[in-house]
Amino acid sequence: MKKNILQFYPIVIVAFLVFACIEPYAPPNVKTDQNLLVVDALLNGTTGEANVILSRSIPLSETISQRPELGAFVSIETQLGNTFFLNDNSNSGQYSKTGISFLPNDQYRLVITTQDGKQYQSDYVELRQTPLIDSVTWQPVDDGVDILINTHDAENQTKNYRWEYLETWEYVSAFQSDYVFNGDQVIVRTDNIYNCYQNFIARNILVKSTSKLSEDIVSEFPITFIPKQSDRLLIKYSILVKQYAITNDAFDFWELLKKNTESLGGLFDPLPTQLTGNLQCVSNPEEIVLGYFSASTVSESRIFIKRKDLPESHRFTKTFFDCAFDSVYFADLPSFNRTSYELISTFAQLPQGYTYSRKSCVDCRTGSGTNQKPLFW
Amino acid sequence: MKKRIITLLLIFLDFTAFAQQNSLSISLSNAKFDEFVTAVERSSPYRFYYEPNTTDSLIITIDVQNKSIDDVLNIALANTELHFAVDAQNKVYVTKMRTILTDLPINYFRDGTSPDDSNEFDYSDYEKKEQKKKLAENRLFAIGKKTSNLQGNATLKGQLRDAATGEPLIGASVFIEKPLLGSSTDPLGYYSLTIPKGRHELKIKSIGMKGITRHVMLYADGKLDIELEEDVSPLKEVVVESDRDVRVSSLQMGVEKINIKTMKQMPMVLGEVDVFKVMLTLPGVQSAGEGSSGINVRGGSTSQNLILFNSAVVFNPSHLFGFFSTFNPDVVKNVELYKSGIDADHGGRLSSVLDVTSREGNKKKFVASGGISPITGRLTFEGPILKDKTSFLIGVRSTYSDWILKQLESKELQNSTASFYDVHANLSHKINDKNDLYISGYKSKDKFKLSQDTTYSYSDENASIKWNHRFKSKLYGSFTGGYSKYNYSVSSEKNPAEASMFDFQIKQFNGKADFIYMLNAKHTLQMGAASTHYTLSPGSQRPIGNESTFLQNIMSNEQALESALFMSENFEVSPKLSLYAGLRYSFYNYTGPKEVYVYADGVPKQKTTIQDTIYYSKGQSIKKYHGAEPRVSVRYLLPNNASVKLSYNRMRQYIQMLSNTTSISPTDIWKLSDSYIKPQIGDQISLGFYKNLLHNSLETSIEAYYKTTQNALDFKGGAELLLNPHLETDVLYTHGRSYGFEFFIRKAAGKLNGWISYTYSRSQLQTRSSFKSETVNSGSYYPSNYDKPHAFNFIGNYKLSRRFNFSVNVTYSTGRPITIPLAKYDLGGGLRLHYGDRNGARIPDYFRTDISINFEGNHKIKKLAHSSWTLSVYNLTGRKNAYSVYFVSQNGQIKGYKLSVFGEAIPTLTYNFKI
Repeated sequence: MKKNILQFYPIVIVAFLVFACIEPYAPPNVKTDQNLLVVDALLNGTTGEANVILSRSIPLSETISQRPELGAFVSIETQLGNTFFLNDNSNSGQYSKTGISFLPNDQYRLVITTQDGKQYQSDYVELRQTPLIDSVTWQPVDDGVDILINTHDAENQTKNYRWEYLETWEYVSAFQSDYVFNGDQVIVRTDNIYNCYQNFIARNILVKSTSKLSEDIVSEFPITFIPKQSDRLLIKYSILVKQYAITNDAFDFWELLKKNTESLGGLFDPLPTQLTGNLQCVSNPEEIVLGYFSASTVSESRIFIKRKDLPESHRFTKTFFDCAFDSVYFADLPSFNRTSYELISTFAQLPQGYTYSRKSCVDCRTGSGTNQKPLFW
Repeated sequence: MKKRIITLLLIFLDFTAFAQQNSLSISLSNAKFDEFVTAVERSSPYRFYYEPNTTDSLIITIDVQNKSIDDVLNIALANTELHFAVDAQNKVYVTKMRTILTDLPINYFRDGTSPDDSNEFDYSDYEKKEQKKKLAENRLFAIGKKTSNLQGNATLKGQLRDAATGEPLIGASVFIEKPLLGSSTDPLGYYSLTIPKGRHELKIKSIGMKGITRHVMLYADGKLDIELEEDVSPLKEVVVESDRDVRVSSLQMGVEKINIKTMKQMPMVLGEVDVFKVMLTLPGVQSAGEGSSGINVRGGSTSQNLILFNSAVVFNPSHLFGFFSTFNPDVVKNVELYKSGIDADHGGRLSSVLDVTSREGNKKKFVASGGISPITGRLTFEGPILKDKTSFLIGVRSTYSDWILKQLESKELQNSTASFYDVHANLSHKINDKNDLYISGYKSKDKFKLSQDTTYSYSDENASIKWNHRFKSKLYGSFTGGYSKYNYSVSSEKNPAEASMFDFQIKQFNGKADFIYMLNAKHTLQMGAASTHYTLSPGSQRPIGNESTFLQNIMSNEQALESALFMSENFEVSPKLSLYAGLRYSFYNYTGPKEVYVYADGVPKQKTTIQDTIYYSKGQSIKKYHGAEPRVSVRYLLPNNASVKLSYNRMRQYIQMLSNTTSISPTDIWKLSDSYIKPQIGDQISLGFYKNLLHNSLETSIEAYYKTTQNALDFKGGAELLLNPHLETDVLYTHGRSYGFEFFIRKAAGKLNGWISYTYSRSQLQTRSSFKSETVNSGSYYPSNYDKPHAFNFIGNYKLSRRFNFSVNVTYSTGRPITIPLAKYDLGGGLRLHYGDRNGARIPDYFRTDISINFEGNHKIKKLAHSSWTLSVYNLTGRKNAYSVYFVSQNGQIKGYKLSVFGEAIPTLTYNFKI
């Protein structure tokens, strides 16, 4: 199968735009006893690590989002006859092994025996050499900032790329707190709950093939888009992009998986299909196995975008709509609700009290962020 | 012509003493009017005043004794449009149409009163015409040399024409009722009817024209040309005559004919009269959903319809990717859809033949017409080049949606463009009584661009030339040459380093010779040959600009020749039983230059099982297919306006459309059958019962069918269709079966008219392969993408008054099948979906109501411009019908969505004019 480079985005026309509408839809409840093994496996040629996550598919009607497969025996066999057994980490369905050494021209396959005694294995895959990332760049556009990647392979060998990225950004709460009431007395705050850091791991699939280009160059491939409304660009933003070289088959797999789960249901989108990767159930060839096993070295690149780097037009501001402050007299402090509110500071017009606000307006950790500054910051 | 023999017999003169009234005796036979006048003037004091050209064709036979002048003239001028008046001075005024008043109205000079309106002055143009019509209807046409021997049969021939435009009327019926014998006009508008000699009442009926009668006295073989008027519902009667009994009495079954007038009365979406939307209201015709182009006829795919515009093939008949059809309603005359019982002269597609014919230009005067709707503007110009001989017609339609887009708020939309146009032009030339020539051309083009990113454009064009020739009285020939081309391109220029353009094109030249031999009233033979040469450019991708590093990828052309011989016979076994038997034999030759892969035996065809590549040089045959396509129909008339019909046909299709989307999309490609992709073969057997009730005013029918197809294509999951040099590795061959019954009731005439149809149908596919990778749903039957078991349609049309017309359209159908996810799983950091069996579920049912009101301008026949307004509301109830249902993984969650294309009521106003 070849992939056409043109992306047929859903086509929208006048009438469609003016009159079309999209509503949530609950699928009919189809009873299914399918409990398929899902394998998410990567052999990292750079670190010598193998990471395998085993889980089971979940009927659509169930609300849980993960069902780890525990107690399996997982190993990697090489064509040249080596076997590496993976360790079951902390009963979470994650299996790993470090310190794997690689021989030239060797090929690798994943072998799994689940607790119910069924054996699964992948096709042999080669360890792909991933070229270095030339650059990760950003570009202000109308409604935000585009993050783009450039890479190339002078040898014309890579052809198929997959990326993952991790975003980190600094943000602040509405008010900076100088004091803290510990129940007995007010003391000067020593911890910083004003500046926080948030991480986000992307879940969308990013793949690109250059097989239709004369040179193996990826130029300005859009990794992500940061919209104006996002608080990512308020102070400082960082993105770590990981690049994997993948095989033609892996490219087809990810591309189809993307169409199956991320396409917008437009008028001309291809119909979704049943999709399996490069794993089979040895004990029962009819059984469907989901997931993919890849092996490659990994290239990484991290960039930072500080507020001052941005053009004036893109130095966005955030308005804290729900944050107002109030004041409390020293005398009333014993009845101060410490679970919901935090003190902010003293107030010139009010020498006998403190200002305070709701916790979410003062403590930046209220969301999912942390005030631990990352090492790379 | 028979020479008139005038015999003046006797003139009796009898002067009487009665002052004013002279009584006359006169006896004349076959005398001209002036001879009559001379006779009267010679024997009486009356003096005649008349215009000779109004009376020169009059022949008078009279024999009276002692009658008053009034009586004499009443007899002499009976059954003519002449009137007379006699004044006090014995002056006789003979006038056409109006009587001269010889006296002023009573009280004319009396003060304070106005003169009475006299009826005699109130002849409207309409009544004038009616009178002329009546004259022709009452007149007895003597055909052939007068003879007293009325034994045996004689043949009456002639041409039927539209009185307004001079256009020949094709397929009109000419018949007598006692005994029931009839024929219909050929492609030149000629009829030939062999009936017993003697006096007959000849009835003529044609769709959209007024039914008329002619009294004939048939002495011997002869000729009678007849002009029919268009059926504009006259002011004082609301009777619409149509070919109501055709459904019962014709041999053809599974056919739907709709003329443009009916279409224009129906509610429309966004103000556009759309041939396909109208077809969708008929039983057995469905589509994937709103905004999807193409129709699915009796469980067939959209590519299994042969769409003809004036005999030339149309590949993509839709604008804006399916929202409108490319047929300009001002140009279309009528549309015929054959669902079964397809005649042997048509072939090449499995499901149906959709035959769209355009009007011919007006042969008598210049006419401009047009209209404005929210989406398009239309203009049509037509007229004679040589009066009554040659005419032209040009129709143009274009959109101003580009302009609309610019007015919208969204920046994304302002950067988008969407435009289309279509042009139809034709020329018809009547060389002489035996030869007619038609030339027709058509081009449609669409261009669409979203947010300065990817531009889609496609264009369909065709041209045809048709020469109809009458060799002898009973042998007709029709010779057609045609050319069709469809191409599309998709260009992406967002990233200059990867800017590229994809092109696809298919081109065909076709020719057909068709002979009809009307042996006698019982046997009609047809035979001929047809040939089509295809050149297909399956795809090419080229870089745009200097910066682009895109690799040029041009797939080699494919070419093939499809030819067919056909013959058929229409046999009226008895007045009740008629039979059609036809055979088409088609040949197909796929030729080089081309490289063909050879795959290993006994394993699934995959890239990895390619063993060899064989090169075929130009013209060298790569693969040949051929086969017979029998076509049989039988009709048996039952008592009480009922009939039963049975038909069987086999069709072969050598060209396939490849699409793995739900509807025809801008990136679908056509593929010629080759070494691996076999031609599709379809067999259909259908049985129908037809009955007209309440004096033919209510037509009912039930048709049932069972259809199988072989080698129809479906695709493996994730198949890549574009620029794929080894398509055979991605396709699945399916065996299809579809069956159903169609129930139809129509009231064609009256103040309230319309139809109700209900269809139960199934359309299923099955893959038959021993390899798991080449089967779908484990090899069991699965529903096709357009399998909608229940479909109901109601079209109602009520004439509130002569100028207001109210229409309602109600549509219901089962939701189409879709593949839905069964389970979710975590992979690569996000939730993914695992899909179940193909087409294992359905989207919600579809229901829609539309209304429209037509308002006509005043009905003066002579005025500068005739105009009409149409207000229509599409999807009156605003029901959010699902077009598609889809599931996406968003922020780690699986969400289901329902997409509705027209999720609210859409009112539109359209203005039409005609000068």
